[in-house]
Amino acid sequence: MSPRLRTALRFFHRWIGFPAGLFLFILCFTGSLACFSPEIQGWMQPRTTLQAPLPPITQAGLLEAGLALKTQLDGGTFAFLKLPSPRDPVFRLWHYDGRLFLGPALAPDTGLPLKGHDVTGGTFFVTLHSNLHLPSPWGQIIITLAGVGLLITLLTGLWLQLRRFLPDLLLFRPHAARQRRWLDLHLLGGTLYLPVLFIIGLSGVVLQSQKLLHMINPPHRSPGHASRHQTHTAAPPAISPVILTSLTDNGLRQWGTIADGFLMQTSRELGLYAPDNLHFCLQRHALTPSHPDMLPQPLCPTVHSFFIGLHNLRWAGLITRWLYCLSGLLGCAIIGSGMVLFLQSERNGLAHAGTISFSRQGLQRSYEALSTATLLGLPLATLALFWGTRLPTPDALSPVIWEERLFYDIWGLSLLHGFITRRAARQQIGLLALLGFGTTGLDLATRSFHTGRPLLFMAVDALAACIGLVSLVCLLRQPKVTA
Amino acid sequence: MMTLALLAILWTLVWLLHLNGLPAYRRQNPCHLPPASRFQNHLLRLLPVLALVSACLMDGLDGLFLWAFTAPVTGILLGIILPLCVPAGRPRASGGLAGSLSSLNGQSLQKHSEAPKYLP
Repeated sequence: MSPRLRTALRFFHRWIGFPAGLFLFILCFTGSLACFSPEIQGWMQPRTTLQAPLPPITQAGLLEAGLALKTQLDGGTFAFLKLPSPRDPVFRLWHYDGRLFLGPALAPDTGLPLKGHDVTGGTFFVTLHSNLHLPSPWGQIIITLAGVGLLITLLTGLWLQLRRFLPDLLLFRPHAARQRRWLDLHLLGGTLYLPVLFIIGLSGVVLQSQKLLHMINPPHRSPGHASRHQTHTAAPPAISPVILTSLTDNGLRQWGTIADGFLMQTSRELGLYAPDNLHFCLQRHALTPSHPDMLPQPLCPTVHSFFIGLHNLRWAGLITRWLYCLSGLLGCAIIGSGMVLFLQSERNGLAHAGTISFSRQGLQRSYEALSTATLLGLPLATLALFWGTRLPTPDALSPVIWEERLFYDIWGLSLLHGFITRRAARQQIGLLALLGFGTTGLDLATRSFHTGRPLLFMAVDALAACIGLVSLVCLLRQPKVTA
Repeated sequence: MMTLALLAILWTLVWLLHLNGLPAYRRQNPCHLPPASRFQNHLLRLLPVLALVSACLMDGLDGLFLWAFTAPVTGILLGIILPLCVPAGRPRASGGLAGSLSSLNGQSLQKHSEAPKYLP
């Protein structure tokens, strides 16, 4: 490779990778959490995880929940009823408020509302992942650009490393200099995860591009189908015990299970939608009273459904989902190590420059503050959000607004902190360790000890403790910085 | 879980065989296999395919994804753990085993006399 080409590749890898990395870290982190959205919802609302043994769904519960859905629809709220599943054993009478899925949890055996307030829940991370909570189409545009940035960065990185790809595939030198260690870590993860990251990135870009295209040129809908906004203006459908029973019976007969499916209004009727985990490709076709039998569908009806299946992995088993979540977190580590390398390289450039202009110093401080807010501020805000769902809410605010405000305030403060002092990273790592280790204590103190799903709480607490442990190790190994 | 365990074992073997095939100054594998042979090279190509087929037979589509996710996880774990297995206190070579032929600067494998010249 000629030195000129190498310099050009390195330039693109760094200067596309860093700005894209700021968003990609957010996407990888929230994507990893989105893999376990129902479980996070359960952790944030401990009363909905119920007591052991978990009560099964009953006919009386379904009818009562159906009545609650009818009340919501009659009142003009476009709600839908999510059916209980092993991952979330309660009815969820949800509506989408533009950012979050909100609504009461209903007991699976009685259909009556369970105690406990609304929380931001796991869907907060799902929507943050899909549109960064930005107004449409800005979120989609930014995510698409970040995704394209990821693909370019992966390809330039691969090209740079091509000749050493195989010989250095598992190379990591823990005893080498600090910068070399970070580079080894970046290359180790980057090369081994290249195919996985490429597929995740490509599928994400395709999905977001399709959303953008649909905004520009809305797709033609078949007469039987109505979008959420179209049905919102339609009259509420009839919901009776007979309809509910026949729909669920038909669903059970045709799919084998209705767990995790949902009841939602389709044009003028109530429809039972199949669970998302039934097929690899997402198939949103409903059984309705007038169409009780599902027509044979191709395995992947559209390209969109194929990429949804590939990107979301809703159909996958528990171990595959854990590994997918781990892939996202390792993606965070690769992006994070890349950002650290970028900062070190910029710092070295400044150190070797004779005179440093004020603007150059300001730029360097901006890079550091943005990196701190991304790499540390986001996990910090996430842990704060988890804490916020379990701590008392100020009287003047609704719990959801309080939790959202807490998340964004902490994230914003992290950025501001990064601008104010160079010790920000160290101090925020300390806070992260504190919150991470404290989560288990908070969890045990704010819920009943006996629960129907102890593994769920243990897993979330263990993950938080892992964040605490990693932060503590970083804190002890990090060289002290003077302000 | 069975599939995961099987894949982890097979991928670990693949990475160890890969490391074993590298020149001595690049090897970080403290548990040496016999010197790389044609059989090992065949095995290196065969094992991932065998792992894929068995994972798909055992778990279907889930198996395919498990196969894809297990490879980097085992590789990264081995890549991080193996260099730490080199006994402490002995002079560490750059990315290689203690006392191997490599230079002792701990920085660049390119400086070794046996290393191919990648950079002009």
